[in-house]
Parts: sequence; C-alpha cells; structure tokens
Amino acid sequence: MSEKKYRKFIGLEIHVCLKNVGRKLFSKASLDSDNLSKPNTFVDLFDLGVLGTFPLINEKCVKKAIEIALALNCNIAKVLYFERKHYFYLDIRKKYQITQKTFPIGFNGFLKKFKIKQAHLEEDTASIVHAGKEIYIDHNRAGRPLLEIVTEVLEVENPNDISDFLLELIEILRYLGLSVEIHEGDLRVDTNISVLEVKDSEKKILTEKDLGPRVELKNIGALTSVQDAAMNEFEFQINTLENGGKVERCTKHVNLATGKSEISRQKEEEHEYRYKEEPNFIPSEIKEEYIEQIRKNLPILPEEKRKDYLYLGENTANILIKNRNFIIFELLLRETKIDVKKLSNIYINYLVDKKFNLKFVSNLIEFFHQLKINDKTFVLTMKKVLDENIDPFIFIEENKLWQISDENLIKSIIDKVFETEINITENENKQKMINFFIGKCMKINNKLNPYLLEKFIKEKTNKIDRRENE
Amino acid sequence: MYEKYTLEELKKISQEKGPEKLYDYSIKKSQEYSYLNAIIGEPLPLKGLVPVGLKDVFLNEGEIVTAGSKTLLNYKSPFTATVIKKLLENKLYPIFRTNLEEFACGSTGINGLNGPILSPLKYANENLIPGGSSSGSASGVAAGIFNIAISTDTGGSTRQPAACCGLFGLCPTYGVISRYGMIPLNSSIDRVGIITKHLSDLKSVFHILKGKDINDPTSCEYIADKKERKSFAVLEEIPCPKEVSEALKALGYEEKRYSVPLVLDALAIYCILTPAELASNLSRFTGTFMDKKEYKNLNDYYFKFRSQFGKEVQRRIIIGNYALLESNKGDLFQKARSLQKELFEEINKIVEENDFIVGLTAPEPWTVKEAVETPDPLKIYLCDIYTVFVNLVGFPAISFPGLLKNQKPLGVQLTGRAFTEDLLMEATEKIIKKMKEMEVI
Repeated sequence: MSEKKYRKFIGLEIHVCLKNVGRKLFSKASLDSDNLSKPNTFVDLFDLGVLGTFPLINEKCVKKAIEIALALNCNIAKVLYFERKHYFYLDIRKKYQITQKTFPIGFNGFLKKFKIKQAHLEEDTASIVHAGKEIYIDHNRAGRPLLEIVTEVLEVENPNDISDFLLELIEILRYLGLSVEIHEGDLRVDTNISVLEVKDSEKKILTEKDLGPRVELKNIGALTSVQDAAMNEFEFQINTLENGGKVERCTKHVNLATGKSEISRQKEEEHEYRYKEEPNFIPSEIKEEYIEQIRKNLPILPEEKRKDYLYLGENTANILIKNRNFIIFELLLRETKIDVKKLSNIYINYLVDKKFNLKFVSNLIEFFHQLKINDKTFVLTMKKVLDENIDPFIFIEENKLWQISDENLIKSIIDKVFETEINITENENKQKMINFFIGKCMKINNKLNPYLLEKFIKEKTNKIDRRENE
Repeated sequence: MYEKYTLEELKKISQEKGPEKLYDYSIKKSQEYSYLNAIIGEPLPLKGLVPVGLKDVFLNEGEIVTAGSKTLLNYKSPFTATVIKKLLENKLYPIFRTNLEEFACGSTGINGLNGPILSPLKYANENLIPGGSSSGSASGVAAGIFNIAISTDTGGSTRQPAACCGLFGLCPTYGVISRYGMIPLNSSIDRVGIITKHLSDLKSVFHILKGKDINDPTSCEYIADKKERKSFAVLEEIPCPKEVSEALKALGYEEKRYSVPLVLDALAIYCILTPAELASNLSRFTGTFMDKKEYKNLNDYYFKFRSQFGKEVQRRIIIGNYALLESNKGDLFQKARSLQKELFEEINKIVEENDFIVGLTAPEPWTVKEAVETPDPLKIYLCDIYTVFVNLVGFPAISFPGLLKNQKPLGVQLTGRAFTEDLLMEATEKIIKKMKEMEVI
C-alpha cells in the first residue's frame, strides 16, 4: 500500500461568557453567577421576547469585548453594529439572536499559531432541560453576553499548537478578570476538522473551498479534550479516506462517557439566517480615543509578564504566570523580602494553587530564611499552616521547635559525639564522615542549626587533621 | 354633544360634573355605533377625567392586547406602555381599545378583528372606509365616541385614516414619542400617532406624550424647530389642492416646485422594508398559548399556530423573508435601504429650504364595499402612495381636514423637518383660518 500523506486543517470557534459586567448584553436582568439558581429567575421581559421591549446595550460588555480583542491583537471595528440572525428553535424566544455579522467588534488578530478571523458579541441562548419525555426551557442563560472568537483555518503540524493556543487564551481571559472554568460552560469550544491528501494540495494556495468536507465537533467538555478530540477526528477522517470512503460533512458531539465522537446532525443544510440589521439598536461610532483609553488601562498580559520571570527558567516562569499566580508571589516577595529565586523555589514546592494566610506563610518563610528554624521544622510547620491555618509562631513556640544557634551548646554536643565516635575519623570520604557526625548530633538534639553544626564539625575535623599531620 | 368640546373644556366638564358623565356618554355612543366594529372588547375602567381611544397595540399591564389578531385573543400584557403612563399622569385614560388591521397591516380597515371596520361617514348610502391601519381610532373619533385617539403610523396609518374620516392626524418625528410597550410593525420607521377632532387637542396630546424614554433607546427629546422660511414646497408627484396653495400665498408664503420621482417609488421601497421587519418581529409567534395536546411535533406546533395569521400578514411575512434570503444575498433588502437613503437626501434638501411640503394626504376614500371587492392587494397599498415617503425619511407630518372631493373628505398633508411639529400645527391653524376666510371650506 502506498504511503499517502494528509494535511490536517482545524478551525476553532470559542464562545466566551463575559462576566463581571453586571447584567446581560441587552436586558436589565442580572447574570446568574453560579448556574445553580432556580430556573427563569434571572430574566427580563426582553429575554422572554415580549413585543414592545427594546435592547438596552450594556456598555461594560462592549468594553470587555474590546479588551479581549486588543489582547488578541485584533483591529477594533469603527462602528458598533448589531444584526438579527433568525432561526426557529426552542432555545431562542424571539426566534432571532442579536449578533454581529458585518462589523464584528474585533477582527484580524492572532494568538500563538492561530490567526483570529474575528471576535464578535452575541446573545447566549436559553438552556434546554430534558426530563423524561418532557422538555423544559430555562431562560436564565438567555441573553447572556458572549464573545465568539473565530480563528482562521490552521494547518496542524504540531498537535500541541491547539492546546497552547487554548491555554494561552484562557490565561488572557483570566488576566482580564474573567474566571474561566471550561466545565462550567464559561468557555465553549467548537472545532471544524478536515483533511486533504497531499497530492491534491501541494502547490495551490488553499482557500476554504479547497479544503475537504469539514466535520464540526461541538461543545467539547474539558479543555484538555479539545486537542485529543481533534486528533481523533483527524485520524478517523484519514482512515475513512484510506479505506476508500468519503468524509461526509456533519456535526458531531463528544460523548463524555466514552470519549468518542458521535454524529448529531448528518448532512448539515445551509441555514438561511436571513441576517438583518437590529433596528432598535442605533449604531454608534467606536472612537479612537475610547479604544486608546481601554488599551492604556489594560492590565499586564501573560506574554508580557512571562518575560519578567524568564530568567528563573521557563518552567518556573510558566507556573508563576498561570492563573495570575504572580500576584500572590509578588505579595510574598514584598512581605518576606528574600531572594526571588529562593522564594520561587519555596512557592513552587509548597504554595502553588493553594489558599493560605499570607501573614502566616511569610512569617514562616522569614523564620527559615533567618535560620531560626531548620528545614525539617520548616516543612512540618508549613504543612500545619496550609492544612490547618495555624499561626507558625505559636506552633513553633509550643512545640519548642526553634533552631538552636547557641555556639557553645552546639560545640559541646559536637565534642560529646566526637569523644564517643573518635574511631570514625579515619574514614577516607570526608564529607560522608561530616554528614555522619551531623546525623549523630541531630540525634541528640534535632533543633541544632545545621549550618553552624556543619561549620563547627568541619573546623573540628580540620583541627584533628592538622594535629594528626603535625 | 361632547364632540364640540376641546380637551381643556372636557376636563372642566369632568371636574365640575364628575368624570362618569363623559365615561357614560362615551359608552352610550359606542353602543349606538357598534356596527362600525371600531371597538375591541369591553369598556376599560374609568381612570381619569377624559376618555380617549387607544389602538389595540399598546400594552397595559393585565389587559388583553390583540393587535387585531386572532393569535393574541388571550394575550395579557405583562407591562404598561410609556404612552399609557403619560396619558394617565395627565388625567386622560383609554376607554376603548380600538380595532385595527391585523398587526397594523392595511390601509382600508377591511382586515379588522371580526371583519371590516366601517367609517360613520357615508357616500351614496354606503359606509366609507375609515382608512387603515388605525381604522377603529379614526372611526371612533368620527363617530364621536371620543375626541382623541392614540394610533400608530408606519406608512400613513394615522394620517390616511384621519384624512378618510375628516379628522386631524399627527405623525411625529421618529423617536419623539416612546414606543416602549407598543407592538411594532416596522421598528425602524414606526411612530406613535394621534387622531383628533380638534387641532388644539392634537397639540395638547402631542406635548403630553413626547419625550425621551430610557426604555426605548430609539427615542429622543423634542426640541422644537420653529425656524420659518416662509416658503412651501410642492412636489410634482403629489397633487396639491389649489385652495391650499392659494391660501398659503395669501398668507405670504412663497411657492417652490420640485420634482422627486423617487417619492412615488417610496411605496415599493416600503413594500420590501416593512414586510422584512414584520417577518422578523413576528418570528417569535410560535404558539406559546396553544394547548399542548394540539401538536404532533415542533414544526407542526409552529405551523398550526402561524396559520392563524390573516392573509395580508401571511403575504407580508413571505415577502419579507424572501427579501432577506441569503441566497438572494439579501439583495432586495439592501437595494431598498440604499434607495431609502437616496430619498432621504432629496427630501431633506427640500425641507431644509422650506417650511414644509404640501400635498394631498391620500386619494379619496373608497366605500367599504369597493374595498372588500378589490382583489388586488397592490391597489390597496396605493392608498398610502402620498404618505409613505414621510415614514421612510423620519420627518413629521400632519394631515388636516376641510376639503371635499365628490362629497368625500380629502386630507391635506404638511411634511416638515425633524422636530417641526409645533411649526406644522401653527401653520395648519393659519391655513384653515385663511381658507375659511376665502370661503373654500
């Protein structure tokens, strides 16, 4: 069998729910923050499609959309313009969704390997709840502000490009104040997958029409699944073509239980959405000054912040950047005033993704840094602070864990140990011998300052050596 | 006979003799003229000093609003329209919901709820059409059931019925009266209209209803433009009665003539834009009021319900959706919009140079019999031939009565710049006075 090669193409459509914007995109209803509220309690007459009500634009949504578009390196539209997209289905009361088609608020951007075709504002639909044979519709979600980000088609050479893009996007959203948990529906990712045999496409510059029939994977559950689902679909399509079959254009969804993709809509018809301008929304100019003001006030973004920490190593930098961990890290830095590299090690080993009392932890770190406690005590106390929120000072006091740095006491213990273990001095490996002595001293009193202990043991062994050599 | 009295006089009568006096009189009149089919439902409760008619497209919390449609016979308004709030604040109250052409689609009144709506005026013993779509509002004022009626105007639906019934009708600047709580036809050109017996009432009610409403983002403040140029424009395409142009000249106005062929195409533009809007606005009507047992599946549910729309509404929905089809590249709609823009440029130039454009409001009214026997809907659309361009350009217009043709009432229309409502009403007063002096009315 001849080895055919296939080129893989992916396009992503990401729906981001805008939060922290007070109310819905066009209605006065508040946003249901935890998706657990009683159905149809976060609704306004506009969401229910009552005739005679009007869309009242929420300016905070526009601002947030521009922030995200700028972070994705997009151009911003010169006019704020909305259209109606008509279709008959249960989850949309008005039977049209207010969205943007002609003038998406952001366009021609890029992030990682993907080019961003556009980012546009639109209303979310209601949620459909199945209960046996009956169908219920909850309009809490209807009219929520969504920003739909559409990428250009990317030829996939390294599968990790997909995850890299999504992870970076999520970080950007977090940096802009949006809490993003994909499993809570804050972010919905749909992908369009197609493959093309290499012989057909070697020289042409490909347009969308040239690509093979595309399969749409919808609503993939967890972020990590997107890349896997995409790669599985590529494999599936390649196998189909290898076995002489044809790829049919359709829509699939990922079955969360089996992890496999299943067809939900075969032979997708072209929808006639009959796009029409939204007449009750007066289009307005998006002024340069307005955009500049937003750009000036953008918080620092992950890529920029990462540069600040690259000198600590890429892995450390990535951990500090993730989820804006650097904010806590920098607070600790201010409180403890210890070396950045030292603190980053402590942070990464003990504190990442943990909730803790800042004062307690910074005090504990300072005790350690000032040699008031040794490593073992540090580790033990840290566990207490993190698990039980115990004040480290009190814990160390009560358990008498302060490190002993009294020189005379240390020296007297060393002397005692040397008297009983004098035979071992003849061991060739010096460091092994020193460690042995450290261990023996610690057995007598485990709160001895290990640095002083090592220092004095070294001095003593040097003295003994000199004496012997004399 | 309370028809003689203006709003201020009626308020006084109500205050002195008690509001029940006018309330009972109005109800008696409505019973006397019940054959006109101008009223929908039962009388509404007494809530003020002076009763008015209300086109049945305005929501009032708890009340049923039908928009003249079988599909809404049980629809209870969930909130109250701003227009009604303002009426009540000023001691006016709706006493009857007036009949209309279904969803404001029509110009004759023959597609009213429960059959054609009649005007009390007759020609050769036949009732004339009251005009449309605010047929019941005009008919009710003409019959003396009330002196004032609130209506709507999308293509002429206030001015043309006012003309057919020998009344005053005002179509204000787009946005000056809030549409919050008004069932829309064409959201981008709809206005709230006023039909009255007396000119002074038109002014009073306009000033009660005007004003920006935060609930209607397309609404705006009314800041009167009273700049006079002392000239009036006559368009070649719209006949202007000699009596009116003579009166104006006698008042010291200069006549200027223009030709704007696009004005006659305004109807064609309207017949694309409005159906598209209607189709969009009515998409939401899918039968949420229907009994669950009546459908087999979702499509059947939608289909059964929407089949209850009248023929004219169905016609317009189909035309509207066709105009928006992407397979047509939405071309028809876009073309209509560009022509609308061109029309605006031309009309705007004319009203900037003059105080107003003068012409007939509408062709002379048919009898109801003639209208019912007219099979061609396009012929019916032609009733709006002189009014529709005003709606497409956003400007205000007034229709005033007095002239007759073949003993049938003819309305005269003055169209001005934005926010010239006061200027138009003042000019109307002067013209009528002059025409009376010249004994032509």
